[in-house]
Amino acid sequence: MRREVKVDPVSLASGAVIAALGALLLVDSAGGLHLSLGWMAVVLTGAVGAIFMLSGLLGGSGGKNPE
Amino acid sequence: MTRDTRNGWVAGVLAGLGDRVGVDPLVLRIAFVIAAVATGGLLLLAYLVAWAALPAAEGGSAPVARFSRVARVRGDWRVAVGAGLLTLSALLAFRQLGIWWSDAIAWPLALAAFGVALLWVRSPRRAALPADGQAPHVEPPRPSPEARPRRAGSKLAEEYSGAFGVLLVVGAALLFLSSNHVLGGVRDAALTAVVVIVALGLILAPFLWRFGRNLAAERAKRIRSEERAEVAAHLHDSVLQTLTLMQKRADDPREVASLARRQERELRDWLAGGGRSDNGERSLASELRSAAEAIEDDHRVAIESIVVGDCGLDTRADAVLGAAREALLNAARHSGDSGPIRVYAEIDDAGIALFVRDRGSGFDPGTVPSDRRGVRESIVGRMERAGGRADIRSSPGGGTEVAIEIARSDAAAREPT
Repeated sequence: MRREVKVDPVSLASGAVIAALGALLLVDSAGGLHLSLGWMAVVLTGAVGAIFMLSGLLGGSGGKNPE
Repeated sequence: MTRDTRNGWVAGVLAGLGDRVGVDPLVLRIAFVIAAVATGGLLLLAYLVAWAALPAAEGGSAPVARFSRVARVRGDWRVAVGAGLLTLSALLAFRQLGIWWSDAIAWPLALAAFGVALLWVRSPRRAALPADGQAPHVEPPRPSPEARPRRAGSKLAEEYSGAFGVLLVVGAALLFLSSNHVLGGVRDAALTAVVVIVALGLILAPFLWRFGRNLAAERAKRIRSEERAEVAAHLHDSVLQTLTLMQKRADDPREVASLARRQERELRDWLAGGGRSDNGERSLASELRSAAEAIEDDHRVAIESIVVGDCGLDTRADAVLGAAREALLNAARHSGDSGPIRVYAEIDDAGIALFVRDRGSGFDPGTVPSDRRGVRESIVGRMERAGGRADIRSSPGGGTEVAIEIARSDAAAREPT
């Protein structure tokens, strides 16, 4: 009997963005990169913006009044 | 807002903007070129974003929407916040890379853009006009705004977003003045003005408070008075006139009953807030009611109709309407004084079910002569041609019931019931 596996695309995409952010910070702390405060702001706002955007594009009603 | 690619020079963004705000696109183009040069090309980025986000006026979705479901979620606050943060991220990245004109210009511009975007979203949209020769799209009537309770939270959020947009634009202007060291002299005057306004507010507060309350009470009183006048006018024009007419025709009980029923119908419609759509849209429920009313008036019979749900008039709904009208006519002609004819219709997304019952003398469907085509063609045949079915249940002395059923679409017809 096959079991249906449902993948939540929002969680998957958001997880991928956060994993990429974590990897970037790891490389930075390992000395491979030298992220300044300005570039950190770019990366953080980009990551949060991407998660919001993905959630809005792929997600459900977002708490809107169903009509 | 849409891109006007027919009149546009590049992607039609400025032509569409000009059409939206009522300004000659040439003026916008000149302003755009000047602003693009002044901001070191930053506006070109905004042009690209607008091209990606806006659909063309000729139809089709926005370029970015082709890769996602943007059209479906347009207006979702998460998309708006995400787009804002990504734009901010891009601006910060440009600043880091040195592709930057000046903090004194760029940040106020970005703030003002967000503020204007918020205010723009709140502005009333222009009604879409159908293209030449194209019939306007008619949707089934929806419940009136009064019938749909609006959430207080969403209204508050709208007001808040509008106020926030104004604050952003004002903040951007102040930031621009401050970064250009123009605010120094203005600061003292502004402080003085603020102190004077606060002092005046404190002095006038009790008076303003009382004035506001009196104004609200006056408004409530005026609304009550207008409502009372409207009710009185309606009662005079309808109920009183009908009562006078009934007194004059007291010797004809059927006429009196017909007048009473017509008045009852009208009063119920009025109490229910109009009963049918005011914009001239035709729907199955309103057409069924109209047909019942017309037959009631023509044949002096009582028809009690209950219609649950509604839909627009398409081929299938038209077939149901025609068959129901024929069934009602038959019942009105043959049921005599056996009590009211009852119509019950249930309309939902899956299908339409309609029943017409009378307590008349009934008949044997098997004995109907072949040259009588009313039941066979106008009810059963019509429904079968449209993909539905009609059953006539009748027996001598037992009344008649016409049951009409049809699916709203082929997909709904295939689903098991």
